[in-house]
Amino acid sequence: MMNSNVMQKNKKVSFVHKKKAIRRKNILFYSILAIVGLLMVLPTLVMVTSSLKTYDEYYSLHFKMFPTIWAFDNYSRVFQANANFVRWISNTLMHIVASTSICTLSTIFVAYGFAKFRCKVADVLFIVLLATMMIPWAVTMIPSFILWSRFGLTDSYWPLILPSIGGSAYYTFMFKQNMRGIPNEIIEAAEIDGANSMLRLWGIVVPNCIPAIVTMILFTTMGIWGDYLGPLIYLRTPQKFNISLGLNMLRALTEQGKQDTPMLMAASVLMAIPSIVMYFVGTEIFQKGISLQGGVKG
Amino acid sequence: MVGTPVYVGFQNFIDLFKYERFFYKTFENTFVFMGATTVLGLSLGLIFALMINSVPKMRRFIQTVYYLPAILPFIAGTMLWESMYAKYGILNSVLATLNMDPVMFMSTKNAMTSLIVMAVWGGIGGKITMFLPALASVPEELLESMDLDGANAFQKFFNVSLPMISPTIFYLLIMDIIGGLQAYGPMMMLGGGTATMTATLQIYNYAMTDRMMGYASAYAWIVFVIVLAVTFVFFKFGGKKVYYVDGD
Repeated sequence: MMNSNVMQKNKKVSFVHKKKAIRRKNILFYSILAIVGLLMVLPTLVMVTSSLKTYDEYYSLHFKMFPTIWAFDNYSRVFQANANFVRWISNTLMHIVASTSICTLSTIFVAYGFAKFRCKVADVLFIVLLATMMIPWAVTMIPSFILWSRFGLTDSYWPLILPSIGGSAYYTFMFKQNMRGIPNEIIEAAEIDGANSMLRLWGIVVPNCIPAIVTMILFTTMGIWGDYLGPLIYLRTPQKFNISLGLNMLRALTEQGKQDTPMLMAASVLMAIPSIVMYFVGTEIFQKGISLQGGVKG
Repeated sequence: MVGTPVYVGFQNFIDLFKYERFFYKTFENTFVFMGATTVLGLSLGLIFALMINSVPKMRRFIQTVYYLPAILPFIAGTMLWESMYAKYGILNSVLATLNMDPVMFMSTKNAMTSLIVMAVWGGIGGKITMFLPALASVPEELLESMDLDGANAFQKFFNVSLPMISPTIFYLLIMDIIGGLQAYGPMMMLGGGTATMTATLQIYNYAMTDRMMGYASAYAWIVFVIVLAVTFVFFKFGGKKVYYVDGD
């Protein structure tokens, strides 16, 4: 009896001891994560506060995190910095609408094909599709440029929009997984009711894939919005620039040997806000929606 | 814009190896950048993911905070870092306030380090976002049974968690290597001269600025072969060590 009491007491002590150890570990981890997290956020925070500083305050040797004079006019000066600023935004929006719609349509069709029309050739083709994702960018850059140059389509958005017809290998994979999660019974039921293939796709499969499709649209849009290296190769005249290329052009303006950095930071913030909004909306939809289960009763 | 090609055989390749002044330097830079960003990105990403995974609350919030740098558009992020690294930039301003000497972040000595810091800062969020679901998929029962057997945290990690997440590690490793070997964006935006010139940047310069398509294509072929070779080596070596739950 004495033994069991002692043993119970020891067990209780070691349990409490373990809880203390866990709490110490949590405090340590939270501290490290907080410090490093602050380091991660600090540059973005600096971008925002710098955008609200006056030129003199930004370049003063006495660094203050937050501006004393809140220079909101930096944001309006962004639009005055270059006459093309609004055009850059509209160019980018046009690019986004065209590319995203074509790419999404194409990807839906291709994924449906891979998901529902199974055969050995399809499996081989799918591997080829995935393999295209592995081709290094450095390799395709020059041949693509030469190709579009022969068509006479450089200095336009065509080289950037037309390839969307091929869809996206990455999202084809995702849609295929998603569509395979829809039970064939539903689709066959529709077929019995007389639905042709297109009706089956657009009436049954697509409505069940809406979260994945919306995710693709949002993240593709985010990608095109921030795309710099792609348009850089093909666009020459400033009026046709992307918002990214346009921002780069603002950067080239110097006065007194120093850039108007607060204004550049304001432009960066303006450009970053849509990306951030789209990301949060996208992840919300992604988390709520991607389920690989269809809806079959019984 | 592009003229008719003239067949010169292997002359482009010969010219590259013989005359290209910074030929070997660009590959040295490329490998240094790729190695540093891959190693730092994956190890730090894994460490932070483990920490985030083991704390009880606020995981999603912390993960979002770490992913925030990756959401910034490329040009916004690089302009931000450019302004931070500049001679009269923010970091030097902070140093001046602390009465320290300014640091030339984009000098020949420091430029590569500066670029690596920027790249890791942007890349960590993505790694953590991939590691967290992988860590969550490690079966609880395995870890609990190790607890009963008296295993400490290190043993639990190296013998169970690490093998279970090895497919994710392998995927991120390959993607990082392929991407790192072809990096040219940060170098183009922030400069740094010879110290940061990578092979793909030279390809871009020769193709777009100098319009020497054949020369640049030869350069691109060499990069292609290197990427293939390195990927092949990692598949050979690493492929065996990856443990797949659903059997090989």
